[in-house]
Amino acid sequence: MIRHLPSIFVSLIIAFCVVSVANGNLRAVGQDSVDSFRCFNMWLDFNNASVEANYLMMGAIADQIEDLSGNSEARELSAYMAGYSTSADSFKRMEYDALYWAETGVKWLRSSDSTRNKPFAGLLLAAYIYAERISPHSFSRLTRKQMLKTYAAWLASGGGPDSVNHAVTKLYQGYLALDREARDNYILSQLQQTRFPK
Amino acid sequence: MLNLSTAVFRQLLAWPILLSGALWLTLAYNLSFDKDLGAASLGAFLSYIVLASCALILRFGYVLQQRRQQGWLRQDSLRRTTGRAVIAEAGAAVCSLLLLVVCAQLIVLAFNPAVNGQSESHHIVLSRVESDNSWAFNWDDSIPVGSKLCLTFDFENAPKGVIESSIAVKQRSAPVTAGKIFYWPLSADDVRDRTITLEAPAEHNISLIRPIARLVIERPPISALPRLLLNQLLFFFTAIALCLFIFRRLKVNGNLASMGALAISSLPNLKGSHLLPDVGALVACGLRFERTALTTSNIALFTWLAMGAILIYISCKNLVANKK
Repeated sequence: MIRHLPSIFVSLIIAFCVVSVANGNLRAVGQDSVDSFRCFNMWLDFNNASVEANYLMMGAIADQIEDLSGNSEARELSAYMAGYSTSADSFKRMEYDALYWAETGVKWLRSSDSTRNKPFAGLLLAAYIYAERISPHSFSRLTRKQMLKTYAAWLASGGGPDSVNHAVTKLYQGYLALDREARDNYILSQLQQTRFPK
Repeated sequence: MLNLSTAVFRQLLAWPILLSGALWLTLAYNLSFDKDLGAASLGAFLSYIVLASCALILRFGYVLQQRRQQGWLRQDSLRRTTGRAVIAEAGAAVCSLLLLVVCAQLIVLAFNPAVNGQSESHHIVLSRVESDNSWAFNWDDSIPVGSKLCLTFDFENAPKGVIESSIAVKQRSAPVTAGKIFYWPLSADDVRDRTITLEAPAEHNISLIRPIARLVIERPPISALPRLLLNQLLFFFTAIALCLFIFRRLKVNGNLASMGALAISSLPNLKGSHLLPDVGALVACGLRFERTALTTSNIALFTWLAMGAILIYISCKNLVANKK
């Protein structure tokens, strides 16, 4: 028995590490490597799902990619495809179907505001989905409020760190110069005058 | 000793293993940097090298076990069997890892791949409201010095006409403009403390849009690859020493010893544990590797290496029982 004690001890350490990894208390050596490879495979699955226009699958995979790699490109792409591009009138979708996916796209974006690595482009996308795809079919005050709040947050960020356009900063400062009552109409007119940048 | 070391090295890197290694490196390069397939990420490439290193440690355990079963071939040729056999085995394992990292560096030097064009990456940071005009930020990992907080402030409730304000921490202060992202460079002290509290003038009534607060961390350039690979080598040196210690001193099966060595090497990453030096960043890899890469302190690194050296020294001692 004593002869086997070291082996038992080492086995116990391995078991402890396995349990800690499962509990999320430990990142084992090589775990990031495995995640990196899993992520690569998920991108392949994501591409297949986008070819098949399987939006639910795209959303689910995007969620996992974001969780594993911190990259939210897949999330934004799936929200764009499901909630914006294919919900356009030119796509000849049933109205309720287009509305459903637009709402789903916005839900994906809103639920990940605090987890996307670069949330700025997603804010603009969410504002345009509200303005162009949801608002024409829904007269909810909550929708309107969310749309205004999302666009104002995007303006406050000046279009995000990659933006080289100072016009957004000017827009926000123009927005702040207005009385509170006029600010909502200012945003609405901006959303109506412009289109979502491709 | 050199003969024994060469023999163990050859046994470790037999032809099928060398061929598999070459194939693995080719695959790693393509999956990391290929224009269509790859993530164009140095972290992805490093992750495949870490996996290969782990596989080599497991192979090392297997070879040790084989040598035990074969009756310690060539060990009798040593003048002082006890210590030199262990050093020869450790040398062979380190050389095999060195060969791997040199080949990894050469493949990148030869093809000079394009990596992610953005020099900075964005990461989540935890924030909480301390008071109406101050916010605290904290992060779990040791992040590189030179990282910045990337913040968006809402001037919605500021007095009319106020589009400029300031953010201050102790004696430092920086201006913030409405409609522009605000960057706060973190000092070495902030990075070490893993927390910072920012404060704005109460009269301006600005607020932080917390969900979109981020940490901006510079990505290591491709020229940092030699240092990153060297870090991996230094990390696995102690893993090799652990494997030898468990195998030689505790007389555990070689395969189990290598698995145990990898498990114990993972323990510096255990949350809330400060028993082992914080060297997890030496093997930073994957798509978020820039968050922790090159952040290991010299003290932690030298403690880790000293642990490896001590383990090898102890393994060298009193191995009379292993003599054939």
